[in-house]
Formats: sequence, C-alpha cells, structure tokens
Amino acid sequence: MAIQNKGLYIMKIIRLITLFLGFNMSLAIAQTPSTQLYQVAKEFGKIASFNANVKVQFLIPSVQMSDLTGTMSYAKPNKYNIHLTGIAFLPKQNPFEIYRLLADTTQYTAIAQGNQNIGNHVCQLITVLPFKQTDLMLAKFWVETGTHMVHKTEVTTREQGTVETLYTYGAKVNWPLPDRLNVSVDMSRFQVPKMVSADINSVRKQSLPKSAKGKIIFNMSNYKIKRG
Amino acid sequence: MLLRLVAAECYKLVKRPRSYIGLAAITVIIMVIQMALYADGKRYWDFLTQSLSRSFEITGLDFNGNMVGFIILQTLIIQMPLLVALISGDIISGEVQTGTLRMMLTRPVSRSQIIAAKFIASELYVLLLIVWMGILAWLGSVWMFGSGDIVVLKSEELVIIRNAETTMRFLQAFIAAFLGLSVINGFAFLLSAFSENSITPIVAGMSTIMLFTIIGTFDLPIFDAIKPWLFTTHTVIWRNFFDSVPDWNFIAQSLWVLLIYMAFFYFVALWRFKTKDFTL
Repeated sequence: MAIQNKGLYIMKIIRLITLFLGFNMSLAIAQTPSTQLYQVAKEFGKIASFNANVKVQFLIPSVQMSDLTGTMSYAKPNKYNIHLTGIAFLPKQNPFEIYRLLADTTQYTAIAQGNQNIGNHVCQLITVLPFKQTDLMLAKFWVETGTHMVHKTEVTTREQGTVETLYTYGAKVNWPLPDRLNVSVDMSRFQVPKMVSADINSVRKQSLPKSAKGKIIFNMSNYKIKRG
Repeated sequence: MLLRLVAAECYKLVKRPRSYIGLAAITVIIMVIQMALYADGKRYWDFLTQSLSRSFEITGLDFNGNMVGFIILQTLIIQMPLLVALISGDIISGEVQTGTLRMMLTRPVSRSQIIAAKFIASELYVLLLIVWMGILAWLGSVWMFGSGDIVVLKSEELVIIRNAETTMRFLQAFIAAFLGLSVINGFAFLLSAFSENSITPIVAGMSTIMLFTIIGTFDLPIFDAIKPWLFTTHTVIWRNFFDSVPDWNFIAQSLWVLLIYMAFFYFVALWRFKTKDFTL
C-alpha cells in the first residue's frame, strides 16, 4: 500500500513538472508583442553607456556636403551626443530614445502584424500606438524573432513626419548596438529666390519634386560599452 | 619705355580722386556687411535654412570668417564691375576730352605702347581692387569671426565646403574673379577708345553690364540662347570654384571665353586708337 502511494506521489510530481514546462514553452512560443518589445528594451537596458567612433554620410537632396567623422556617446537613461567638427545635418530624434519608450509597456498598445524579411532576417512587424496624446503618433518595429534585435523602425511624429531607420549589426552582435544606422527623414526641398542666393546664371530645374527623403547614414566603429 | 609709360599711367590713377571711390566703396560695403552679420547673422541663416531645419538638427552652423568672406564676395562681385567701369571708361576718353592725349602723342612713343600702358595700368587697378577686397572681406572676416565651413547658398541647393578646403577655393576664386573683372575692364576700355568724353563710356559700360546681368537672372527660354554669349555669364565663374566638386571642364571653358573676350576688346581698342585722328 505504501509503495503504491509513493508511486502515485511520484506520478503527480512528474505531471506537475510536465504541466509547468508545457506552460512555459507555450508562453515562449506565443510571446505577446508587448513582451517582445519589452525584451528589446530590456536587452538595450543592459547597456549603461557607450562611446563609439562615427562616420556620418549625408545623402540629402538639395544639400551637397562631404562626410564627417567624430564620436557618438550614450548614457542611461537618455543622454545622447554626437560630436562632429563642421556643419552637420542630423536627425532631430535621438535614435536610442525609442528603447526608453518601449520599456514602459503600460504607455502603449502593441499589435503584431505578421512576419517580414529585412535583409536576411525574419522579423516580426509590431505596431505601437501610444495611449497618451504625445508627439509620437505611431511607431513600427521590425524585431528579429529569437534575438530581440530591431532591424527597422518607422516612427511617425506630429512635428517631423515619418522617420525610417534601418539597423545593420556586425561585430557587436551580442549587444543591440548597430554598426550602421540608416536614417531617412521626410523633408521639403530647399529653395530660395535667385536674387537672394546671388546665383545669377543658374538654370532652374523644373522637374524636382517639392518633397523628398533625406538620408543620414551613421557608420559606427570601436564601441566602448559599459554594462549597467 | 613701356614700364615708364605704365608708371606714368599709374601715377595719373593715383592722382585722380575718382580712383579712390572704388576702394572706399569696397571698404564701406565690407565693413557694413561684416557688422551686420556680426550682429544679426544667426537670424539671417535661420531664415534661409528654415525649410531644412524643420526636418534636421543643423549643427555647427555658426557664422565664421570664411562664410562671411564668401557672402561679401558674392555681394560685391555684382557691384565691382561698375567700380571698374568707372575708372576704365575714362582712361582714354578722359584724356581726349581734356586734350592731354594729343600732347602725349607728340612724344616719341608708339600708339601701341600708349594703349598697352593704359591697359596695364587699368589692370593693375583691378588687381588692387581684388587684393583689397580679399584682404578685407576674407582675411579680415577670418580674423574677426574665426574660420570654419562655408555654406554656399544656391537657388535650389546648399553646398557645404569644409574648412580644410576653403583657402585653396578662395585663392582660385580670386584669380577667376580677377580675370572676370579684367574682361569688364577691357569692355569699358574699348568703349573709352571709341568715345571723346568720359561720361558716355562709363554710363554705356555700366548699362551694358546691368542689362547682361538682368538677362542672366531671368529663367526665360528666350534668353537661353543668348546667355552663353554674354561675357557677364562667364565673369561670375569664380563662384563655380565653390561647387561641391568643381566642373573643371566648364570652368576651363569659361576662362578661355574670358581670355578671348579680353583679347578681342583690347585689340579692337588698339585698332581704334591707332586709326583714330586725334587732330580733329
């Protein structure tokens, strides 16, 4: 009788362990978009600060300028700085600000919109809608399933329209820090009267569109990261 | 002999109060622009770049000497032909009017030497204007504001020239501007050879320059065929040295056109001077 009871007890424990594992596995498989974004923010939150060398390329319609080199630095929670010598056109948004936003899942609702390929990476497209009326209207994230790496974002704000950012990872693949950031910004074409510019003999190009996308490409190297 | 004649012509220019109008005008204009930009330059840039600053954070856009020098150069280069015409338009006709040329022609020097000396003296005056402008507008501004990147404002784009490249660009631009003003000098010189009073060549020269410049500013198809033939189209070639990547073929072509114009104006003036009867 005692042996039979012991057997039943062991069976119960095995059933409980199986149930527990099964529950956890199902959670892992069907992770909600919010938890996935939270994981993205959590991964980035492991970085207390970093410094990197940066080479910035400017592909802005109606602005001709050569590349600049300098340094980029970031410190928790939101201290971001790019030091370049010379005139530079930079995105208005701090590219790492978005991680801070994602950390607080009570501030937004996240909707999964299926998988899409960004380069060779299979990413889940997650749309974020903030609850509060802020400058941010809508944000889209392409998050690689499994690694929690963001490969693309599209952030729409009231002030600046849509800013699209492509992230390319390389050497620091263990950290969510890209080697290359490709930021596309909505912009209106630059134009001033000829007499203001004193550009007397130029010929006006008739076919140019009024709005365009300006691209700023950041190529980072020599990351020095502090864990936090 | 030619050197002595050139020295005599330079002496005449130095003694004439009119010669100082150009230098004084350049000095005043440069100082006014420098003071205005020193006081209000930031607001000026904010206004010009407002369409871009809506989309981007523009950093490092502080006024510096190179930028001020460029702004002054592009402002003055439109006025400077008028200052050159004021001197060159008078250099032959003024002496015809006063009668001093007749006396000069009684001396044992050829007419070719006289006209060459007058042309060289007027070219030296143009060179003096350019050098004076360079010292005040560029070096003076760098001394006042410090150096930095230049923003070249065009009607449909901005070109940013990095600080390291600015010295070479300015020197090339000054040489091209000298050649451009030399053509204006040659044109006024030619008109002076055809006239017997000072006013006509000066006014005719200024009016022609203004007319050609106005034609250049209009984007009307009717003017497109004329524009390449106007010397004022090429006298502003100095600005092309401030392109992101200068189009050397276009610049070389324009510089050749300027040289051809200058030679044409000079030799027509020489022909006129040699065949003109000054005894009447």
